[in-house]
Amino acid sequence: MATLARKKAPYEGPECPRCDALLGDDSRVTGTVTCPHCRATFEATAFNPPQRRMQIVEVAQSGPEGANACANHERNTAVTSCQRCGLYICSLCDMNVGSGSFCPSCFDRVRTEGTLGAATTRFRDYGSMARASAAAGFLFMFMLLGLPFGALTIYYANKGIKQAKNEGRSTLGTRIAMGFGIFEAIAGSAAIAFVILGVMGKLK
Amino acid sequence: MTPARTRIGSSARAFGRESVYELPDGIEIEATENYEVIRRRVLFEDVLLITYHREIGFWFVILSGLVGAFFLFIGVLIVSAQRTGNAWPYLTPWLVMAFPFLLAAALRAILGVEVISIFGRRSKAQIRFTFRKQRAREVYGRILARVRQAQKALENEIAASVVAEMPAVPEVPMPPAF
Repeated sequence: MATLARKKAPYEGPECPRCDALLGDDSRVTGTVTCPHCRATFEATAFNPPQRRMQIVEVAQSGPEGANACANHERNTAVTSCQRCGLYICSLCDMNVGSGSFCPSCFDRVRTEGTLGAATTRFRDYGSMARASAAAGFLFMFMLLGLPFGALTIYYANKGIKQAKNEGRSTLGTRIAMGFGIFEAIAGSAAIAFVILGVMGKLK
Repeated sequence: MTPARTRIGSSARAFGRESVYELPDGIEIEATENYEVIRRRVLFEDVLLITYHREIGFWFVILSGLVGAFFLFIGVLIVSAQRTGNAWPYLTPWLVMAFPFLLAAALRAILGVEVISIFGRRSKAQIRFTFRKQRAREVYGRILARVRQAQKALENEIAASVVAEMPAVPEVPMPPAF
């Protein structure tokens, strides 16, 4: 089945900042670069970051016990196993990006699927949720929904303030949402009380 | 708890906004997507290319201009239907609504937006500056310096580890003198 939304291709390396086309090695230079795809120019500074050296131990060097061979390089001692398929892998094959070790084929797959969790971190933004809930509460207050939305806003804003403090972000927006939440909860409760008293005929 | 970071800019697109922070060892990008924050990093050690360019943003100018023109068109339409009396009370609200869009389109067309792109081995970051051109240059220069510094430090670290790993030259006894 064709997907409705076009999935953005995973990042593969330096791209043209104007058209997002992948740049070849000859375009990764310092100076004014003309993109071979869109013909637009941009100022660039290229770097050649040094690679950390890997220490490879051969099976013959590591002794008879505890020396499992790498699934891809039979002469190399395995240093770990792939957390997805379980293959023994040596330090040459170990694609460790922080969240665990993958063999090259599993790494390619999780990277394409976008499920590789090391390069990115995802978490809920309670501040945004509080702001959205406050806005919804404000809109639907006339439907006597001020109290539930207000309570929800206070809950989210409370979590959002803690989260923002932990992250070192500004809490101003979330605090304003908290204020709105408190107002909605009070106004919503008053509106409900008013309606109940009206139904009971206790309002003159 | 995240390490100390400084906000250096942001990159707003049609369907999302990213905040970019400077960390001691890299750049952190925070994008909000459906109440979820997606955080990724470009480490200075991993940077392959940094680019700087100015762009107008064709679609931004066209869409803002169209929205502004639409409000203006409705105002003119109402005024033209009102054949008698003062037209300003009818036109003013539509002018007020059209003004921000037309101003945004004009400013973008005149000033453009400065874009800094940082491409690492595994991820990239982009920072856009609409008004503060001087700051864009300053940030570009600072990131270049920090990348150079980090990669030089890594180079030295690797060189030091190579020297440490080199086996000591065994002392060979001198042959007896005849």
